Amino acid sequence: MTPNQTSFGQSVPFRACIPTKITLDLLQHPADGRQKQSYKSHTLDRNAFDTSTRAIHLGDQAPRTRIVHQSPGLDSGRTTEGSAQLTCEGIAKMADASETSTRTPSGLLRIVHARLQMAYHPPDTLRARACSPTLAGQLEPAVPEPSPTIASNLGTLEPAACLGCLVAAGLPGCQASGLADRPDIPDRKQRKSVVFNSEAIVVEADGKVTTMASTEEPKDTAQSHSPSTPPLSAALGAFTDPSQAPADDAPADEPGLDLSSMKKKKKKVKAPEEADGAEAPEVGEDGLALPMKKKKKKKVTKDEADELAAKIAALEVDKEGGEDEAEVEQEEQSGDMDQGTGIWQHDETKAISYDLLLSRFFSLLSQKNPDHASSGSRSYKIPPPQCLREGNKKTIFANIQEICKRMNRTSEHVVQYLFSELGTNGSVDGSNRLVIKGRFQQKQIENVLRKYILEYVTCKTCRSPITELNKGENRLYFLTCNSCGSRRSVQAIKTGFSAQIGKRRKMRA
Amino acid sequence: MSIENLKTYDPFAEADEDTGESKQAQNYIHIRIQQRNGRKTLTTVQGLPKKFDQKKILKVIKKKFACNGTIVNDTEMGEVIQLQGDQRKDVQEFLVDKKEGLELDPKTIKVHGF
Repeated sequence: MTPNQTSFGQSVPFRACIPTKITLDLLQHPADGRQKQSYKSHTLDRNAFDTSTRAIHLGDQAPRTRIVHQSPGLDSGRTTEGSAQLTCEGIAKMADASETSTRTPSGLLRIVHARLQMAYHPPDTLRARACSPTLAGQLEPAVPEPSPTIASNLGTLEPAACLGCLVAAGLPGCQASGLADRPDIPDRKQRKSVVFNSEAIVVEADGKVTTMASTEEPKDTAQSHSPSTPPLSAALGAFTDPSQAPADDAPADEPGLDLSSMKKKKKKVKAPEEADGAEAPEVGEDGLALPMKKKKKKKVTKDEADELAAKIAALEVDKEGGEDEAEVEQEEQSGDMDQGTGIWQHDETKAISYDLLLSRFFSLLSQKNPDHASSGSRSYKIPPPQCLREGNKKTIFANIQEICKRMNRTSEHVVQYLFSELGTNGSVDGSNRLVIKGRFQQKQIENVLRKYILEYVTCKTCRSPITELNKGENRLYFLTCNSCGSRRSVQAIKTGFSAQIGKRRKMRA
Repeated sequence: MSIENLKTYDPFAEADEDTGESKQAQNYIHIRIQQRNGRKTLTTVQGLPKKFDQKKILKVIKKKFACNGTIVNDTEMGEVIQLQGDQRKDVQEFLVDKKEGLELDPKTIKVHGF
């Protein structure tokens, strides 16, 4: 098996997956445990990825690294919280595993990228792109888990396997031979929840490492209860059926395996129930694959060019074991996601680019689970305070009642806070508006309200604003969160020192 | 839209603050602002550590920020530095500054006001 026949490596358009911009924030080492750490930030753009700029030499940089990135699918204006942490061990390990790749910023980017990519992909798509999670698996001990499900799914992927994938994908600076004879890559413990341990590492004579999909795993999709004994495939025997081909046989029948892995990828991307209908015959015989394809395609609307490309791709996959997949993926990928045309067509064999998958993921997320999609930004909104001027020296805060209602706080508490912060006093007028002594602008009131919300409204544990403020025992105020249930005392409002303003004669009198 | 997964959020960051709060509840330095007539304001700095000589601090501050100020002896709060104008930011920076300031921990300083 030659490296360009790997089932995964070639078909992943790796370059397309690279975030356009990554900022590396290198943490200074916290010498004494919990000291505040400062960040040195380095921004690398996509172009810096391939050319190995040696501007950042990680060896003598601080051991902890925070990566903030920007990627095209997201709102790329922000460089903020979307960060992943790599600790020194993680980087050191990477450095061990592949010297060339970590010492350079681009190498690190690659790692980071693998990590990011993993975080973005739901486990299903990950499975299709086995290339990315591997590195992540390696880094994992150092990195906070992106999300329990994904992390657990990644847990058992072999580090070597993924590195191999990267090599196969033709990444520069990642030498296959160097990787192959690294026995000291730390073995990660198997996790129970992992369903797919799907890679078998094939080490070539020349030291190249490639990965194959071993199809022995229990199928969690419709494949397991698909009719694996249709007449044709049954006749062709066990070794062509993907669900029975052992991993060791893989090099023997490449076309079959290649197709099956392609199929798998597609299945993750498309509706899984339908994918297996055509599978068995397709794998079974080259001649049969095409008619089946045609039949399927007729159901779906499509553009001619794509169909042709797909046909060619299918043929070539059968003939040459996917040598030309790389070419195919270079073509323009278009199509309507909702209607399932173009690249999203059900039996499309092209690999879908990272950007497209990412945008699809988020559009689906916002469609089906708007809660998850929106939870990223803390968008607690209160109506803007309306400030009117009464006379020359008083300000009227008109909609305080509304705001208090919105925050679920008593207006007394809010008023007390306002007065103590503004260092003034005032009163409530007949129509429940607050009259504040002194001239204040809306912006200033807004700032104070923002502080109030931070301190007395948002839950410190889960940051949810759905909280209650109650007077507990000992005359202390307690903040009870309604979404996570935490309870915590808050500071009492203290006015502090207030200087005497105005005429002293009046005060004396 | 942003990605929840990638937010690194140190769960102990606030716990850290908490312990600090309970230890040094009294030791907070409060910087407040008060409105006077017109566009005039007062800045008060309350709760400076005892180890500093307030008089000397005031002298430096007055020179540095080009403002007048006094030390007020309050029965509850002790000695309070009172400055003319809105000097909150300046004072905060001065208190934290390592080179020519007091090298205080920014966590112990609370800036109030609008």
